[in-house]
Order: sequence, then C-alpha cells, then structure tokens
Amino acid sequence: MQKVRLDRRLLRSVEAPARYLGGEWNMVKKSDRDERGQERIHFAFCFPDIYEVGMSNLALRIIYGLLNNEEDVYCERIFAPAPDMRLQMLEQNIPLFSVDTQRAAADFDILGFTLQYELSYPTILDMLSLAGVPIWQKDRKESDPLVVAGGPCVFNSEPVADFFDLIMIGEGEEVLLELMDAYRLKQKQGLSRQEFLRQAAMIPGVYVPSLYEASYDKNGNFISLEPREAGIPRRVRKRIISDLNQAYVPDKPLVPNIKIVHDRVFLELFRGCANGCRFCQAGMIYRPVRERTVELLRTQVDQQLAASGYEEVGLLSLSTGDYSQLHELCQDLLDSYQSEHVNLSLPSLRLDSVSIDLLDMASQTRKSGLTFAPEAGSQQLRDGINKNILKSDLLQAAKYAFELGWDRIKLYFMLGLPGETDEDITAIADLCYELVDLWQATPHTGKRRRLQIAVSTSFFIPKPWTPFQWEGQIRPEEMQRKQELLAKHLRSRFMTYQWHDFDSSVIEAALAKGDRRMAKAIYQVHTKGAFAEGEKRYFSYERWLEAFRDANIDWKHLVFDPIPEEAALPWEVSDAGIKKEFLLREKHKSERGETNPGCLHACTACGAAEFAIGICRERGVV
Amino acid sequence: MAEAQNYAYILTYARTGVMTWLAHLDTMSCFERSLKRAGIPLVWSGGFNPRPKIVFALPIGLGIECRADLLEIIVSEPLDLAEAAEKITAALPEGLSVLELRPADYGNKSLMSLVKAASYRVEGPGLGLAWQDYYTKHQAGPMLVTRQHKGKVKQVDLAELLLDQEKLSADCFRFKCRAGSSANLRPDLLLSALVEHEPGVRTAAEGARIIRESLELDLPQAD
Repeated sequence: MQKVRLDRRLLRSVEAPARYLGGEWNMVKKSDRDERGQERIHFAFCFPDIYEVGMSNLALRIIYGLLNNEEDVYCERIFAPAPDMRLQMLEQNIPLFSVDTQRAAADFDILGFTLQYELSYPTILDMLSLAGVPIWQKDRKESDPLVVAGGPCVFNSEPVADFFDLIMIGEGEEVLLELMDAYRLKQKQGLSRQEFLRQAAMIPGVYVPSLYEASYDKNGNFISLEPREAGIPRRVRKRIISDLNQAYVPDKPLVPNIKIVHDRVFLELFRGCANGCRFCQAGMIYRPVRERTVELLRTQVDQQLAASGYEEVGLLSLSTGDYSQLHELCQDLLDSYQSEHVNLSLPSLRLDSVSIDLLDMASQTRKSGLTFAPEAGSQQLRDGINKNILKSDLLQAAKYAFELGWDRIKLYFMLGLPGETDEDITAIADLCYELVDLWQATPHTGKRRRLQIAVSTSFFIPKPWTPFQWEGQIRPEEMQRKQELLAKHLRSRFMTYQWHDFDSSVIEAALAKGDRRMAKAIYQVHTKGAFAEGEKRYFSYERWLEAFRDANIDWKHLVFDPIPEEAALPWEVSDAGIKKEFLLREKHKSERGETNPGCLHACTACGAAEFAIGICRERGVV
Repeated sequence: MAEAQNYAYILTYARTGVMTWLAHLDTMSCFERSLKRAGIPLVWSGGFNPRPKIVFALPIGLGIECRADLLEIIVSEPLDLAEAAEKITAALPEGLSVLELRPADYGNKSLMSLVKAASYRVEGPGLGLAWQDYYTKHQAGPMLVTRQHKGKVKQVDLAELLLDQEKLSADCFRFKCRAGSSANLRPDLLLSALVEHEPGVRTAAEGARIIRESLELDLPQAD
C-alpha cells in the first residue's frame, strides 16, 4: 500500500500541520487484513473542504463510525488540502492521502465523496486529480478506486453525474451497508467495474449515471434521461431511515486535535422539517419528519460526553424549536451537565419567548448573540414564501430578550425572492428600526452596551425539489440595486449589513439547475485552476462564464429564465418522494399569497406519506 | 462554612509523534479533554470564562517534542497517585504519555514563574558539525541573531541566553539555555543563527528533530 511520508520540513512549512496527521482520540486503527487474513475493504470518506470544515460535518461522524463497525471495512478520512499544503503537494509530487494513515487516495477501494454545496464541485475534481484518479467515470480502469457520492446535492447530481461510478440518493446508513455487501460479492466473484455497477443499480437508492442517456430538443432544452438497459429504474427513489431510534449513532466521537468549526458533541434530534418554507430544499428532501425520543437522546449524550471529554453539546435539526420535547430535553441536559461545565449550543431556534427562555437557561454567565432568520421583511412576502412568522411574535420575543439583557442580534434575510417588491425590502429596515425602538424603551439599571443588529442577506437561488424550482434568479444588476436600496435604509449606528456576493450566487444557481452538459464546464474550470470556489479569494466569475461559453451552455437562459411548468426536469431521476403536483400547488398558492400551516397542523399531501412513517403516521395521515 | 480545600499536583509528561504538531493552545485543550475523560476532579476558575485550572510550566512550540515537560493541575480531592497516573495515561491520545504524577511542592508560587532553564537536543544531517563550528567561532564575542517581533526587527545576543552546549555527533548537538518568563531562548532562533552562519545547513535545520529534554525549576530551598 502506498503511504505518503510527510517530513518535518514540509510540516513546518504549512499552517496547522495537525490537519493532515490524524491521531485523534477515538480514531480507528485497523490493519490491512482482518482476523481471517482477508484484505479489508478500504473506504475513504472524502470531504471536499478543509479538515476544520469536514470534521464538523455530522454525516462524516456517522458514516465513519458506521463503516468501521464492519469488521472487514476500514473507513478513513480524506479532506481537501489547504492551499499552502496543496501547493507543496503539487511541487513535490505528493498524492492526495488520508489523515488516518496517510494512505494514498488512489490506493483505496472506494472513494466516497459528499456533495455538500455546488461550488465545491471543482474541489472534488481537484482532489481526484491530486489523487491521480481519472476524473471522468468512463476513463477509470479496473485498478482505479470506485468513486461514489452521497449528500444533499444528490437531488440534482446531474452536473457531476459523469464523474461518479454511482450516487446514493437520500440517507446513507442502510444503503451504504448494502453497497458494502454488493462490493464483497464483487470481490468474491471477481466482477468487473461495469458488472458491479449493474448489480449495484439494483439496490434501492443507488443511481448509476452511466446506465442512463440524456436527450435534448433542438432548442437545447432537456427532454429526458432514459435507462440504457432493461431493468434499470427510470427514477431512483430516496432512501430514508424509518426509525431513527434504531439507526446507528456514533458512540465514540472523533475528538480533533485542533479547533474545528463545530467542536462539540452532536445530538441529532430529528430529520425533516414540518414548516414547508417554499424556498428551502432541505425542508422538502428530508420529509417526512422523524423524531428521536428524549430517553434515547439522553443515553446518547451521556455516552458521547464520557467517550470524548467534550465541553459542549449541540442540538442539531432543521428547526430545533419544533422538537416536540425540546423544553424537557434542555432542562434535563442543563440539570445534569451545567455543573460539570458542559455548555449547550442551540442553533435553529424559533423566534418566540419559549426559545428565549431556553437560550437564557443555556447561556450561563455569557450571552452570545441571538440569531434569527425571518428571510423576508414584510408579512406579504413571508406569506409568499410560507415562512410563518408574525412580526408581533418577533417583536415580542425580542422585547423579552432585551429585558433579559441580550444586546446582539443577527438577522438573516434573502433578497430576490419571487414576487418581491421594493416595499418588501425597505420593510427589513423598518423592522430593524422597530427593534431599536423596543430596545431603547427597555428599562435597565446602570450602564449597558449599545444594541447591535447585524443584518445579513443572501440572494435567493431557486433549488430543485422546491415549489420555487421553476423560478428564475434575478439578474446581477437587480441584485446590486436591491442590495444598495437596503444598505441606504440601514444606515444607523445600531446596525451593520453584510451581503453575499452577486457573482457566486449566479454560479451557484447555474450549478443547482444544470443537467449533464454542465460537467464539461466544471471540468474546464478545474483545468483552468479552480480548486476552492467557495472561497472569495479563489473564486473566479469570468472563468465560469468562459467555461459555459466553451461548453455551449446558455447560462443566462438557465439561471434567469423561469422554467415552463410542463417542462421535463433533469433532476427528476433522483426522486425525493415529493409529488410534482404538490410543488405546483405550493407555487400557485405562493402567487396568490396563500400560506399553509405546516405538517403539524394540516397535511398538504406532498407525497411523503407514501413512506408511511414519522409524522405522517403520527398525525394519522396514513 | 470552611472553604473547600484544593490540591495541587505536578504532571511530568512527554510528547512525540502526531502530538508534536500541535500548537500550545491545542495542547492545552487536548490535556483538558483527556483529564476530563480520565475522571480527574479538576477545579475550575470562576468569572466570565471558566476554565479548568491547568497550568503549563513553559509553552512548547509547534514541531518540538518533549521528554519531561511539566504541568500543574488543581483538583478538588486528593489523588491516589498510581491510580490517577494510570487513568490519565489511558485517556491520553497516542503520542502523549505521563512519566510522573506528584504533589506540587513549591507552596503558593506559580509554576510558570519557577522555570529558569531548558535543555534541548537537535538532530539533523551535519547540524552537530555546523554547531561546533559556529560556537567555536563565536564563543568569545556576542552571538547576534536577527529576530522579527511584532513587526519590529531586533538583534538578540544568544550568548546571554546560552548556559551550556555540546556537540554529540556530526549530526547532533545539545544545549541548555535560559527559559521562562524573565528570559527565554527559543530553539528555532538558535537554529536561524546557525543558518545565518552557514546557509548550507538550511534544509537540515528546517527538517531538524528538536527535542526538549528537560526543564529546570528554581525551587525554594528545602529546610
């Protein structure tokens, strides 16, 4: 096996060398052969970002533990090298390697990438290139690793489909183990890559792009993606875990040796989201909502804290405020652990007094900022996007927070939402001024710091599998105009305003809705040097536009023009279990300014009930 | 009500392997978590940002191994030395090990203030010979080396900080120098002086194995 040696001189020349060395507490060490003398299956979880980001990812922790529980599988981790190390690797011909054993990436049996965000696609290609593994699936030889993918962007993986041997749609815990079974059979029977892929395509949730053919009309619009052979499913339905209380949970979390972005024990409370905000892809693709019980979560947290020595627990979910037993869980955790100096981190809370109470309990001596995401400034636009928050709720919660001493608030909004008017934008500023008035009117004793409201906006990007998937994105000139309009109205010593780049928002939109033809453009930006497009410093808009032109992609049509409702959509092959009719109904409701109250209150027949589990069953829908 | 009594212990530890490549703050964090896993009843500081009471005698630079560094822990109950040392060893990641655990024997003084010297060993092709040459030529006069600190350029005289030295082989030398809060010589500064004197050893110096072999404390005289 090829092991990369990182000499002292190299380690001294890069920032945070521990990023590349592994050796973390709870890191798994296995020999190449198992007890029976059989060569183990070498799997690498490949995260297309640096160590600090990848190690903060829940899926990595789950899959690392899940696969290493298999006696004959050794799962290691590969991250994208930071730019300084990457340069050294290119200069010294050091191939991409795992952090656990510094094993060369090309030496693994399977490289499993996670598709986290669209701008990470060139990083994936860069990692394959650094590994010396052929980037295009069709170029791989029998001796090359299998290159597979999973993660949130699989719900439109068409732009990168030609780079992967297979793609797993949905939640990975079960399908990955079934894939391992198929791989064991491949080794036993000496199957070729092609033969194996045909077998793998029979596993529910496995999408083998090379077994499909895309076709387009004379105007260049996508028409269909057809299986090349009989027996290959037209659409691949997502896999989801029916009972989260039975699913694998990592009991021995890896404890990094350096500071990472989210450095704590993770408690995943539930999957899915019942709110149905119309812009949100996650809220659609993870349906139906499935919760874990409080008892199980308590056991998990006890186990994980004891096994790690971590000083913080983070509650994870898409909308923590909706967890049915949140108060009980938090009270329980605080009673048990506050005296032992274990903090509680509560992201994704709702804007109400109950949440403020919880945050107050959890914050101990120091109050960090409150973060909320109203997304739209006016009730009218919030109704349009189905973000069911009333201004009165927000103001009441803020008033309560101010009384308790909070003086730092971060608010997230989106600009460019469908149906947005200038009044909706200035309403954001009106809201902020109302918060200032409220704070100034809050009785206090003695001195206090000045309130700081940090407003952050991103630009709306239409995403597949949402009611807004047919929308066009607003043009960059409009983005600029709207951003300047808001900035003009937010000039106050109480407020700061940060906005997302126009350029990268446009590229993200193109990649989000692209089809197979996008692969050529992604490959080109890679050959022209792209490797960290998620970083402002390394992102190049012009390089993308040139690549679209050279690949004959009408990117303006793709990004800015709405899609006709009857058009075939390239991403329908990855079935999120949501009916198109439901998405269209929500789109039309949005145009009429109608809301829906979310799964907890009324079923909107989205299609997730067909899975017959979770909230749909609990609410008696099935 | 009587105030709870706290107990102070000194831990002598070594680091090698992957642990060598942690910056000081990360080393501290690593020990905090390891001691927690070992179930050691650490006492926490109060105030705005409570932290467990762990004090390192002398920070160790990234890339430098150590054979016998010291840290002090404050705990709320007296420890069974053998049992605690075993638990801590079991809870440390590979590359960190406990050599000794003993009660702190220096009264109310802070461990950091007691450090006065440190001994280092440096290994690398030709570095022993290069050092011998450098020292022979400079031992009479000042040993000046340029140092960048907070944007300012300073000239440091190594002779004032060097207490003892010896070439051990063509590829290895050791030295003892002043260390601690009042005066401190960093081994990488010494190596840069060597490279300034003989540029040919730059590669060897950049890849040198640097080991802090021991710390010397200025302990109060025993009665």
